[in-house]
Amino acid sequence: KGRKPYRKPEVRYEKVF
Amino acid sequence: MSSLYIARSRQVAARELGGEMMIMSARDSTLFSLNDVATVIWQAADGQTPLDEIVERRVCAEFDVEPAEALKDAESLVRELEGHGILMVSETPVVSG
Repeated sequence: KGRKPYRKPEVRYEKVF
Repeated sequence: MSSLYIARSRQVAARELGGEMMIMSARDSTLFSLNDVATVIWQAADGQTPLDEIVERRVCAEFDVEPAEALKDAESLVRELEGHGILMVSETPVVSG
């Protein structure tokens, strides 16, 4: 109880300019 | 296995938006976005708390996951962030100057 569903930690990235 | 210590780079600007962390790297103008679990790890990256402790006390307390799985995923994440130059990873505590 009380814990959120786990999602594998991930990073997304994009070169802005 | 020895503990890993993680510390945020000083060359970034980070803001939390809707539970996800947006990070701008001043080094190469790349914008990073972390999901909710990665955000918890990022926020706890003080250079003094071992990664396994961060996983146990923060990730496992907040998310429904076993410590072994969470630690494996966290190690993979921090190595990736280290590769992008926005996180420092060390086997000893990181002193922030």
